[in-house]
Amino acid sequence: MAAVKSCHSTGPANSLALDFTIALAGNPNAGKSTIFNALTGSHQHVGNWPGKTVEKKEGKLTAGGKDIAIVDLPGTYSLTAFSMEELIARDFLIDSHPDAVIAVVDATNLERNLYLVIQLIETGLPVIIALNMSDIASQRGIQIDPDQLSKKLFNMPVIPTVGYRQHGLDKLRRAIEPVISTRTTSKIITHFDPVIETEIQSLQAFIDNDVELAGYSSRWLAIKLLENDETIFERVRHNTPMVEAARYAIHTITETTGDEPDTWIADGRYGFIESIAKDVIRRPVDSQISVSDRLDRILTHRIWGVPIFLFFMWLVFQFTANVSAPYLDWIDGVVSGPFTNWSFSLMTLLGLSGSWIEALLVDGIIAGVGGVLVFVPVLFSLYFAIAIMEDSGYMARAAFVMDRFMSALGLHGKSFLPLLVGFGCTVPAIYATRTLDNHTDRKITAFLATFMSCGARLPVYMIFGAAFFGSASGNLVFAMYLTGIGVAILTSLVMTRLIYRDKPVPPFVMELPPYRVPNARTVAITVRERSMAFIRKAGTIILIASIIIWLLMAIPLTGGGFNDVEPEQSAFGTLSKVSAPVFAPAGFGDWESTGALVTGFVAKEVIISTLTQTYVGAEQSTEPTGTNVVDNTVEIGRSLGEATVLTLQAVVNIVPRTVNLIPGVSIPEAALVSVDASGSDDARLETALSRNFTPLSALAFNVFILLYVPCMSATAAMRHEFGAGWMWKQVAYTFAVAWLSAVLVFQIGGLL
Amino acid sequence: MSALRDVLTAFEQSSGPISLQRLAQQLDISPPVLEDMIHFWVRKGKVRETGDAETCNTCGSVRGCPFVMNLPRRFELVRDGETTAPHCHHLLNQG
Repeated sequence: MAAVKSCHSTGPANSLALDFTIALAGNPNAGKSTIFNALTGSHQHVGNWPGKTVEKKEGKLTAGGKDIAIVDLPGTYSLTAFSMEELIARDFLIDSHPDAVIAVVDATNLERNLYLVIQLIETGLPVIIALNMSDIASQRGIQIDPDQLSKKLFNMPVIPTVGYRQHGLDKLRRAIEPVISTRTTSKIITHFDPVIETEIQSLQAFIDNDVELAGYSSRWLAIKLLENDETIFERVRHNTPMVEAARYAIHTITETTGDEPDTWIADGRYGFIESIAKDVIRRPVDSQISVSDRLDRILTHRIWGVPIFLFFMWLVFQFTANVSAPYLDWIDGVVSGPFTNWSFSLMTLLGLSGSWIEALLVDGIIAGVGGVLVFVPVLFSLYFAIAIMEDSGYMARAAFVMDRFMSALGLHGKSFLPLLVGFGCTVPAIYATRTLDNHTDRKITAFLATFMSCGARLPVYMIFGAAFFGSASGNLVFAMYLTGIGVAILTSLVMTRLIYRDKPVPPFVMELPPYRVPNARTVAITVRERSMAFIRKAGTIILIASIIIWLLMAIPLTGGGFNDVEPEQSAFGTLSKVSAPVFAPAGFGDWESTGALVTGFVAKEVIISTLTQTYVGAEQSTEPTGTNVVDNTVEIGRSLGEATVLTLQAVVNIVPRTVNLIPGVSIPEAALVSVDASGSDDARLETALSRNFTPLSALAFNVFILLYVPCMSATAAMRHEFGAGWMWKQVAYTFAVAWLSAVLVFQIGGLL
Repeated sequence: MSALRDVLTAFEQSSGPISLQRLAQQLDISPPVLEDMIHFWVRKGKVRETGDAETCNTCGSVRGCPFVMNLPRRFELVRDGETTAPHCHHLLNQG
């Protein structure tokens, strides 16, 4: 028979060798450390709990002429055995037998803190309650009657304190001496349901007759056995009859009541807390409604929640499209102007002027990668707006509102959060479905995620928006994102009603974080990291794709020589022409746009690279326009200043554009400066697009790009997570939906 | 059985998503206490907690995927026939 670990301390329960020990316990963030520092001053010793990496702090306090060691226990919410901190705190209390415990309680959150207090009292140790943060509780209108609380807790001392102001600490010190002298304890704190009380008493009889368990509170030990606490069963395994009785009691209670004893015990504690709170705490009615609650009543309103979410989305894309435009033009001007000129100069210096290497650098790499990099301000603006929504706490509400909306339609409405991730990138959105436990839910959500318009598609909308919709390009972007959500909902509808119709939608509870003013540093880091991901992609995948496209356009297939071939007769042009007729019903059956759709499978930004190389390259070869470094540098600075003024103008103009949404209202927009960016690559691409597309075919083309097969990384992620079968279904479905939608837009639009 | 069972019943009877704050108002308990009660049921395997999005490494970002949002926690009822491992993640992080 194994000997139980002795619960009798053989010396002081502290490393300071003082005769008296007090443990300081409490919930995390209840102000325990402040109280500890205030009580012990500079007399502190910091180490680790034996065998653990958790910090152990001890300090010396003199009260009533006695030197007392204060041991700061890890912050915990209970004394169960679910975390290392709880085990450390519990083992110290039951093995080291401190002379008393000071329970530091957050007065602003008394009910939650009382759960630990009750368990502390159950251990049989004398407990003193420091009702901390009582000033903040008062400010919030929460009135706690300490005397009444003391009565409810069988006359345990309750001392209101304000740790950081050292208020109440003298009273707390004075309360310690009588408690450790008399070791005043409460035998019974919570009266559980009779079914539990009967078994507690039976087990107590075993415990009281076991000398090896004499150091434990028999009631506490009996409760722990009924809670099926395996670490406690280990401690008492020498007493086989008691172990068997405890196991039998657990089984019997579970069988007869349908609930395990630990559920009854936890419920008893919560019931006791409720009875205390009713008599002890007074809250003014209006203080129970926080600012967050008030905002939630509007922003998560059952009817207005969805329109408000859509309005915020519209605002985001107005911001993205208009605020970023001046800097987009500026970078475009720098890339297609001075940077290209300097590249020509470098090639001349190296004796490569007019060579295919120069053409690869200027028409392939600079046009391809540069054509994508100019959209960094757009992505930066989008990520900034989304980061503000995330950090303010609104994004969680958006997901909640949309989930509720989808649920109301009988759809799989618990997946919108992973879908929101898809606004950034489809790949993490697919992996984010791992948060859903059910495999079918995961598959459906990943399927829907491909319709969420990722950041890579945004440059395409922007360039078409600028070419065909001018200052209303933000509306096109908004319409595209909205269409993506709409198609995802329709797809969910099809799947839920036709394929997974027997599967009920499980309800769920979502924690909505409190609203807060966005943290500038957090927002800055988020925006930087996301923008850098875009730039890294331009330097890798898009660079390689641009080189390959240039090579395919330089290789003749039906006539001409290398780098001396009509684009249409190149390998790229010839191959693209094969699939072009498929898209003719959608209004974009030329080889240039078809080729761009094919390369867009690599990454959606490559569509821009391809269109730039095919349309702009075909219309006009880039030629040097001057290489004066000083002039170019001055021009870069001048245009940057101009872009900054235009950006400020665009920020100001968000207000009239928003107000002008109200019918009958028309506020003029500010027009401080205007620029002519017609010489840049993007401007030339816009011109080329306006020649080769009509507004309707441009819209159909954008709809196709929104909905068709996501990039190869996302497709690979789909295969990785759900297998090749599901991936091919998704590829086929997205292509079919995209083609059908584009054709419908073009054909029906043509009839209007 | 009172408050603790009420929480589970609220999960079972809910017809759609509900916020933790709203449920706390309905049950007339403070949100932190409700959160503790929900975690009790999570430990019992009756409710599961979701919300921590796992990242992916396909874009080669050293610091993890920058697009993964800090998702709020979500609790849902474990349906009949489903199994779930007792989820102590949150408690382990609380210490």
